[in-house]
Amino acid sequence: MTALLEVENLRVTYAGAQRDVAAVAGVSFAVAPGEVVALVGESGSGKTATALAIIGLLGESARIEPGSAIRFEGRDLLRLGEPEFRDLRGRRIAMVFQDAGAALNPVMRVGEQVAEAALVHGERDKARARAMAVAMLDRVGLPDAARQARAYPHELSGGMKQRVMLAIALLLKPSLVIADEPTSALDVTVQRQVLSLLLELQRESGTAVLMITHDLGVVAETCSRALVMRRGELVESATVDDLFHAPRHAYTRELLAAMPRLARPVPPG
Amino acid sequence: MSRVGRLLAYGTVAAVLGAALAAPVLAPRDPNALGDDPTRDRRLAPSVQHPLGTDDLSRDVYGRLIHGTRVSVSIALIAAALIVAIAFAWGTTAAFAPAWLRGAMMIFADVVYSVPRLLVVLSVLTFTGQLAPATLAVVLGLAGWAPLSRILYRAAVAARRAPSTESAMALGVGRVRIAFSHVLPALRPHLVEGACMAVAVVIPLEAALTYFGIGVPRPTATWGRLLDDAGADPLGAWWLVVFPSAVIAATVMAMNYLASDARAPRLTAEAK
Amino acid sequence: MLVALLVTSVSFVGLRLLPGDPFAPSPDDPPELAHARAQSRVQFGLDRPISVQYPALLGALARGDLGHSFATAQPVSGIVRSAITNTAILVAPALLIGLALGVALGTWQGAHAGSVRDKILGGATFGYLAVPEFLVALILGGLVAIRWKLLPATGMVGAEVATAPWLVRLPSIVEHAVLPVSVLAMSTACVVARHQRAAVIAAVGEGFVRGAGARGVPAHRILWVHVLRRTAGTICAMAGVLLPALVGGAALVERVFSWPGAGSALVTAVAARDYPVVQALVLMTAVAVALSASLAEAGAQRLAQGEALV
Repeated sequence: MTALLEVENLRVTYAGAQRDVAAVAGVSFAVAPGEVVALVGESGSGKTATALAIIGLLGESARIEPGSAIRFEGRDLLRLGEPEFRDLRGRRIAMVFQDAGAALNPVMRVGEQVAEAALVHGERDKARARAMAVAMLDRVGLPDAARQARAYPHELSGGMKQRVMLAIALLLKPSLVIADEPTSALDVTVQRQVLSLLLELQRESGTAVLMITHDLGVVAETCSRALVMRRGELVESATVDDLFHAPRHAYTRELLAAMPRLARPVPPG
Repeated sequence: MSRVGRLLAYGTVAAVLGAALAAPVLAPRDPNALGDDPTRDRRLAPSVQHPLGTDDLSRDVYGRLIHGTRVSVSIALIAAALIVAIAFAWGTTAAFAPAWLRGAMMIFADVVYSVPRLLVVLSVLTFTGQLAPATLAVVLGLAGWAPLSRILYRAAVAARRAPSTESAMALGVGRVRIAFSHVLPALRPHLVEGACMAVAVVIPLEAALTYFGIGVPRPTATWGRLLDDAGADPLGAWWLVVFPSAVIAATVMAMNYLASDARAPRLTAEAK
Repeated sequence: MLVALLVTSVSFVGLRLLPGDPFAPSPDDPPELAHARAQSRVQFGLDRPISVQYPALLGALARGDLGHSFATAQPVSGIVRSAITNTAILVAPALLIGLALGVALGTWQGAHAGSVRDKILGGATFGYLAVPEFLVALILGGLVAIRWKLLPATGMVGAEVATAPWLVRLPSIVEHAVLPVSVLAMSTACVVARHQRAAVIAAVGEGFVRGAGARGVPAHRILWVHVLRRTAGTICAMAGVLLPALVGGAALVERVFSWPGAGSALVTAVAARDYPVVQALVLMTAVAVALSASLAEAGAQRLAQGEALV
């Protein structure tokens, strides 16, 4: 089976005030179509940098070193010009951010921002884009979607905003969704709702998900495979079962040990 | 970049102040004196004898500029000092006053604020006619204290609410001491900024008023007067316009620069 | 309304305390003028104690009776009305053009902050604002109108069409307005550009830019639709603050170009110590400014409805 996403020897360096910092130091992995893969690590492990590199949103102070390769649906993303990359973003690769409040424009109505995803990717008919937006908002569980579409971000709760983000990300049915700590900013109960929504949508559309998180509980609930990162390097890559029950790297064992008891998955049998 | 800028700004200020202070030494002749031969010496281009040329009435521009600097600068300094003093007194008193008084004081400041400064000054000048430089400075100062007082008020209130101040008050430290050791340091950058901005605003204002004949009376030299002296065809003799304009612009720029520097020293280069 | 009342009160009290009596007849007054002064003296009730003067003044104002000019013995309300209209002809386009230019410039600068072109532009606006507006008017007028004779130097309308119906006068008025409006618009544009630059830099630093990018929104749309909308509230608030400065600047620029507006009338009246005209102009201008400032403030509030937390 051909991989949807292939990352080979990715190296990302940030230009620091005094020295350059290697945020990602040679990471390689692959994501199959429809797979839900976790990218686990503490803050500073380079997982967000990896995600941003894939979607091409690294800031100006970051550099992708030569020798790195990122292939998506067979195409080399690092050789892609900006217009083509922009075409991919939102349509084939989407990103969900941790802080939905910050990622949404505070002075634009929510429905407008969802519809925009369609409009910038070729939908000419504004009315149709808006209808798509409302349908999507309804699908992600926003009550009274037509009215909510006219709301401003600050009028919605954290969970609702995150649902909006999911609506935007999945509107055009991309093949890969990168979710950067999608639930870390939410209350625990709301977290579960948003996560199960994400899984539902994922199953429906067969989208692959790269779930970036530091929360092993989330990994246990949603992912089939996990990649553990530490200080810019990939230290372990295993199925979730193997990860929890037969961790190979010392660091993984540390992470597991640090988990609160209740969140640990029960061994089979 | 900001170091060069700061150097230039301080340099300009020093030059201007120096000229103002040392006027009698730098230009010993009476600035209002006519040239030796009034008809022949009119509108002479800059030369060794008259480094900045002469004006319509054959007066030496260099001498008038130096002495004019003294007058314009004193007006600006007096007005700025007045503005800072009143704004400081008003703002800090309001910050420490009981609620009802505070509201009243700030509404009053707002009223003074809302009338364009120029109009206030013009109204006063209608009554009083042209004024001596010192009095004009007082009027300019009285017209312009309101915006700064708002800024100082807000800063004083913020300082007063700061945790360190509250704990000092809880310990029973007297109000005056608190004012000096907690509030004043917080206000210092605003005071400096306010003073610089005050000068930057007063100088063009005085120039305008004098130019239009309602500021300092003739023939006293000020920067504005020199522009006025240029007469009906100002561009016919470029030296009559360029030198006073350059001095005004340079001083205003330097003051603006120092003001933003006082507010945020490291951001000055970006803010430009 | 409150502001207007307070402004009147303050100006009344303040001015009464000043030395110098503008109503005192001066020896070279022609008889009509002396008569006008004496009349105003009675009207303003200067021969009665202050406690009676103030209500009398308010009463006169409420009736719309603004007195008569000392200099020309014309009724003040007519003078004020045409003066303010003429100033509005300059200020309105200057504000709009200045805002449009300044926003465009500032937005561009904010997007390219730190670049060489941005620094040059920043330095240029900084330097330009250091030169007093009336001076710019003087120099520009001297060059364009007097030296190069491209545009008329003074006045509002050419003498040949002065008595024609306004439609015929219009092109001449426009021609005369070009220079003063340009000067005013340029200063406004510089101030707006500097503020807008900072606002755009702040907005770009917010997360929604990245969010929009992740959706595939093209960069220029992010800047000119998203970011611009984000700064709309600030822009409106700026307009409110700009007005007093613009009106003040207009006063001087008008004088330079002999444009018969409120500023010009004011300066003349001050020089002639024509108190009724000055008081009426100051009052009307202050009220107009306060009104438009609160309108702008209200506009800013409405536009900022998405910023409840800001």
